[in-house]
Parts: sequence; C-alpha cells; structure tokens
Amino acid sequence: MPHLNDLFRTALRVIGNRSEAEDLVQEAYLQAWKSFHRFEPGTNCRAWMYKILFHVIQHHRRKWYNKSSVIDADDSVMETVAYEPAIPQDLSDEDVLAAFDKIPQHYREVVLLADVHEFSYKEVADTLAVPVGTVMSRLSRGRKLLRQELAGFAMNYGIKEEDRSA
Amino acid sequence: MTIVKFENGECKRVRSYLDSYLSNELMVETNLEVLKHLEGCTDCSRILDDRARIKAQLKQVALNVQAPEALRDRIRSDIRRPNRFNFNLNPTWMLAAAAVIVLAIGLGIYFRPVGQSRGSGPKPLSVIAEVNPGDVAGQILKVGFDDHVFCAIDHNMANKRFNSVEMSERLGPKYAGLVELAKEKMPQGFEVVIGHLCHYQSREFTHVIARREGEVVSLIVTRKNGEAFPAEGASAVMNAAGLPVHEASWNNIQVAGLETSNYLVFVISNDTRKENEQIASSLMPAVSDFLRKLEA
Repeated sequence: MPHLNDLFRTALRVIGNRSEAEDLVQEAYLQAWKSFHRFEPGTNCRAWMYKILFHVIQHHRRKWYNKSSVIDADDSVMETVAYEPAIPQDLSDEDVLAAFDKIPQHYREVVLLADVHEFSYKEVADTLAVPVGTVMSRLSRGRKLLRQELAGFAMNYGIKEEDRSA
Repeated sequence: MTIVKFENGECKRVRSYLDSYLSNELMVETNLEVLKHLEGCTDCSRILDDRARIKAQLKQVALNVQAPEALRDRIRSDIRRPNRFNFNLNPTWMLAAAAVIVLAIGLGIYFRPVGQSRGSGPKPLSVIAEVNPGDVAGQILKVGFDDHVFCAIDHNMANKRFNSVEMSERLGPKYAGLVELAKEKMPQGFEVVIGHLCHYQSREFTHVIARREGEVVSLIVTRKNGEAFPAEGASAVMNAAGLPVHEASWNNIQVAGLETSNYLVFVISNDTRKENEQIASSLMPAVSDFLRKLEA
C-alpha cells in the first residue's frame, strides 16, 4: 500500500496519539478511494494523498477540539531574539521528538512536510490550503521554536555558551 | 571572565539565510556571501552545524516509525466493503471507474470473487430486524444485531478462524484485550474463533465471535454516536445484577445491549433468551470495566 508508512508517520507526529493517527490515516485512504476520479493522472499521487490526510486532520480538529484558528507567533518578538544558544551534541531521539511535539501543531505540520518529507513550499501550500508566504513564515518560526525547545535541554544539561566556545 | 559577544549586523543577516543555505535555496551571489562569512565567523559556523544536525536528526527519528500491520488490514477491509461505493452515474463515470481500477492495482487490493456482486448499493441483510420507530432501545439493539448478521452470518465469519496473533493484529493494541477477556468469561466449551475490526453502514465495530458446536455468540463493541438507552425498560434479571441491560429478539437471535459513557456493548447469539442472558451477565461486567479503563 503506497505511502502508508509516510502518512502514518505524519499523522502520528501531527496528532500525537497513535490510535487517533491510525483512524485518520484509515479515513484518508477511504476518502482517496472514493474520490479517486478527481485525481489528475500525471500529477503527484503522494502529494494528493497528503492533501487528503490533512483535510481529514483539519476536519477531525474542528470536530473534536474546535481549533480552527491559528495564532501565529509574534514576529517582532521572534526577530529580536538574535542570540542563538548552543544545542547539546548528544541529544537523544526522544529529546528531539519531545521538543518537536511541544511546538504548536500548525508549525509542526509545515516543518514535517518541508524538512522531514521534503515537499516543496508550493506542495506544502497546496497540501495545507494556505498561501506559500504563510508556509515560509510558519516554517521559519517552527524551526526557531524547535531550536528554542532544544536549547532548553542545553540548560537542563548545564551546557553554557562559554563552555562551547572554550 | 566571561566575554559576551554581540553579533554584528552581518551575523544577523547571514543567520537569516542559514536555513535557506542548508536547503540550497539561495541565489549564487548570496550563497557565496554566506560561505565567505562562515569562513571567518566561528559563531555562525557553529549555528549552521547545530541547525544541520537538528534537521538531520529530526528527519531520521520521524521517519523511523512503521505503520502497524493491523492498520493495513483495516484499510483493505474497509475498501472492500460494498457500501463504501457510492459513485454517481455521470459522464465521467467510466473514466472514474478506470481510475479506481488503477488505484486498486496500485494499492494491491484484490477484488471480491465473482458471484459476490456489489450491485448498486449494500446487499440487504439476510435477517431483518423490524423495529417500531418509537422503540428507542430496539433501534439501538438493532445496531449490534445488524452487524452480527452482516459479519457473522452473511459474511460467514462465524465459520472462519483466526489465530491469536491475527486477532491481536486485527483488533489493534487498544482492543486486543477483549479476546483474552472473552476467552476467560465465555461459558465452558466455547472457543473464541474471530477477533477483528468490522464495519457496517459506515460504523466501526470491535467484533469477537465465539462458538460451541452450533452456538454462535458475538461480542460487539462500538463507539456511541449519540445513542442513549432509555432509563426504563432494562431487563429485570440484569438490573438485579446492577447491569442496566436491554434485550430484544428477532428471528430467534437474541440481543443484549449495555452502554458505557462512550461505547455500546452487545452480546448476540442464537441461544435461548435465558442462555444469552447468562452469557451477557458473565461478559458484560468485565467488558464494561475494560471500556471504562479506555475512557479514563
């Protein structure tokens, strides 16, 4: 079954719950099956499947969590943070996932699609039904938020900037 | 003494390019400018290394997950269900049908054997439960009854057999425990032969089937979809045991139904009403506890 692993990985990271992720991927395949007559031959089937998956996820979010609005981080605050703290060298996979899962969902989605699954900005925009400019700003902010979360591990580990540069 | 370094304007500008630099998105001139700066700036080089490392590690760890085999089975099972097909007859229908066949080949799905025609809609059940519109409990009990008829009888699942591993995979980790529970609580002589996720009329059921010679018992659990049994009318026998179980019978098939906060539980069999009550009274308290833990 093509793309099943990728879709499941994506849903799992976006939703954060294995059982719900399974249900959403299942629903995405069923919708794809029912609406395959709308698929344009010659276009990217993987991107089309992702688009359906995120449509299902958004529907699920509206239905269960009533979270339709996106509160984007304040640019002015983000941009004044010029200092970028060191990130530990020996972060475990669990540390990285834990930090990533703390990022708000709308940023997580874009980072997943662009940095993990290597979709183009245009494909991410089509998948999430948002403008390309929004994708770029969310990607930038999502990456920054991830770095900030991981830098928190540096503080926990007692790593300071002067230690790194010593 | 700690020396605090303040980045100059060039560092700030270069750092705003670093993610694009890593993704090879910069123009040649900007790329050269970043490279030149990195040669002489250890702080920005360190930041670039950190970003590249995080990106690579996130990718590696996020991709290191496999979809469970049971999910694959659920999707295949769902797509094969006849009532999933609801195409309109329009001028593009033939094209759509051809496209569906292409997808089917791509998904590795096999079609139903010849002779099991899909027709234009779901095949009618072989046993129909007649319920008065005002009979709320009857309407709810019919949900479990219909799935039993659809799956255990019409799809002959009662005469099939899954091993324990197959049952666990098909039920998934959330509901796999129902098999052991059924094995423990079913009366002596019964064998649990099927445990899987089943669908009827766009509704998902956890379905466990047990057999003892000619006796067939289904334990069916499904998420509530707004249903609520009426306060009155529960079986007196079951009520005495603290279980507000409702009962009905159609065509000598007995149904007992119980609700928890989020689930409906049905025990359906071709036994007598009294025997079905005994099975239900053995199964339902344990199933109810199992579901309450899921709901917690």
